[in-house]
Amino acid sequence: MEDLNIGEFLSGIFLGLVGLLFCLGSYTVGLGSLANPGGGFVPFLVGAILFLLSLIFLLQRVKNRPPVKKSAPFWPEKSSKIRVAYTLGAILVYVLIFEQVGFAVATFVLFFFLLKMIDPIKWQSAVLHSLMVTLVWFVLFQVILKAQLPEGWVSWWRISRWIF
Amino acid sequence: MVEDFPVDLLTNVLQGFSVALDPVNLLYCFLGVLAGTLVGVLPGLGPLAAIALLLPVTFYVPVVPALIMLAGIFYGAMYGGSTTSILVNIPGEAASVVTCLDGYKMALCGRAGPALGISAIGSFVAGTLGVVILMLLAPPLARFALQFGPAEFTSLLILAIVIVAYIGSGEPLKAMMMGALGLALGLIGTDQISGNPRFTFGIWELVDGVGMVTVAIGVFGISEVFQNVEVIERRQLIKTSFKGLFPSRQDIRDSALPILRGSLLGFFVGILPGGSHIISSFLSYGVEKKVSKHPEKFGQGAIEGVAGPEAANNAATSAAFVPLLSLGVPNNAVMALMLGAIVMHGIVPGPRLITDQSQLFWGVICSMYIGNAMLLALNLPLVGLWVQVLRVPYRLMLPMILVFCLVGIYSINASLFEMFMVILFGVFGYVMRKFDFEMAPVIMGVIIGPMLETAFRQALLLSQGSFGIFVTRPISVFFLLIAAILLCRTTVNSILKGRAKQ
Repeated sequence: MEDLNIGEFLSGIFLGLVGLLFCLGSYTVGLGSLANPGGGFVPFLVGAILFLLSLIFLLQRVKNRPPVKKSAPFWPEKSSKIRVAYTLGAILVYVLIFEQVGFAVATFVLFFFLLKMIDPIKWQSAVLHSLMVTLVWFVLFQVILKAQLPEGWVSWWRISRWIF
Repeated sequence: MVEDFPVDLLTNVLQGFSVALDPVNLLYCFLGVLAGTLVGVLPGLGPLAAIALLLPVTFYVPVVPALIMLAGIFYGAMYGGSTTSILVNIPGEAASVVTCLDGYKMALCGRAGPALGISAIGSFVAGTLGVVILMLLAPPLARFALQFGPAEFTSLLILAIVIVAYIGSGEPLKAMMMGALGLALGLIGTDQISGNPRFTFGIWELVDGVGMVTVAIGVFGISEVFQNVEVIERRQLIKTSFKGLFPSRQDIRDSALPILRGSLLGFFVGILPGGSHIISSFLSYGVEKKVSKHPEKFGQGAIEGVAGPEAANNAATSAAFVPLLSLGVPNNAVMALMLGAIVMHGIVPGPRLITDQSQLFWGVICSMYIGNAMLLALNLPLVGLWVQVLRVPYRLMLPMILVFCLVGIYSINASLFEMFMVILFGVFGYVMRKFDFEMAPVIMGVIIGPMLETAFRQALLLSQGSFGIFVTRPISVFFLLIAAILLCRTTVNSILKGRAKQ
């Protein structure tokens, strides 16, 4: 008997639960009748299908147990975990400070942090690269596309006054 | 109608070229093929992620140039993908995997130039042939589809999602689970018939539904970044000269038939739902090896092994537009995103698109023809530049992609909530991919979900609650039968596999 792939099994349970929640939620929305289906009718069917498929999947896994891919561990390298965590943490902080400090400052900080932490380069290069790319992105989103981004500490208006 | 057909076609093609040759549209076409080649060249960023990333940008552009640009990314990526396959043995995107077999061997023997040359020429010929067949095939198909009612559409959409799950590269059961999850996500938000919100948990941002762009950027953009930061890759480029890019006469003679066969095979396989541009390149390789007088040379640097598959994947790319533009039904995840872009601009997809939005339909098709010519010019003389692009370290691209994802999504509704949702879907996509759950069916489900619900409920309203409407109409029965056969095959296969293991 092969070992059960726990992660895969948990994914199946998660999807089954989502299906079940959809079925339950559809009841509160209202299923309606066959001749006049309500807003919960199709979500109920979809939830039920997802639940059933997940159930079949879980039963199959318990019964047949396909070989676990030993060659592909969850983290390919020891440092993978740290790099993914840094990236996730950095983008979460980016979103949290985005409206407070503005697009330009937040983007510069994110770039600098990732350039130093993921595959470290020299301080000077990191600052230079971060400045350059922030400027390119700033021009693309703020000047060319005129997207409504939070200006925060560095606004296009202030920069243009400073230049001209 | 029938007598007018060639005249109509000519008028429409002329109209299409006048749209495609508009300077603004030409610029977007160029930007699209340029971006496509770039993402094709860069491993770790496929056309799907690139289109997802650029979807927010298309909000600022009218629908015709937006679609011209997105289409350009798709077929441009097929061109660019072959460059990395040949030079570094890393396929830039999935359809170029097979090009590695002989293309890289040719490069090792000092024939990188002809390999790159023949792949660009093969792609151009196939892309052009594909566009011509698309022009001839899509309008009659759309005329046929005008007979479709809600029942036929329901069955067709069910078939589309079943086939995508069936043809996917992984386990069909897992793909179906992902498809069902996508459908469920697509149903969150306002009920399109009654107008009441559902499954919103009191979050007003969810009243408009879980955005297709949010899911796409999360599961394709952010999750790909997570996957790529796991291992810092140092690429080894072959030092080769790019003199003599143009293949010799003998090379052309050897490749002419494979290109033709690849184009036709690619086109007809490409119409089928699923990742067909990927399958078509593998099929073409198999066919060429079988018909070849010297099959032993395949895998050792046979030019036919590059020409055929490259032609096939480009023809399949054009073919994928047939169901999208004539029926309004996407046959793969990239087309689902294109459909999303059409819907985002308030255009109703479906068989009426060709007549109601003739500028869009013919403009996009003719732009593909022009785009193919641009790609030839971009890829052959500039191959040295694309090789330089390969040297750009991933550490620089990573924050750029992340910012593009996050700022792109913020720029649509100025919503921090959507930025968090993108990250959430990114983590979800990253974890699920680890367990071999594919993400393409999710995005198909999100887009098809609301369409399927509306068609299904309309059909039931029409039939006064009888499911008979789906099995008494011949076209609907046909679609459902195919879906049922595929589902049965999947079940039988998995039972047989289980028994064999025991």
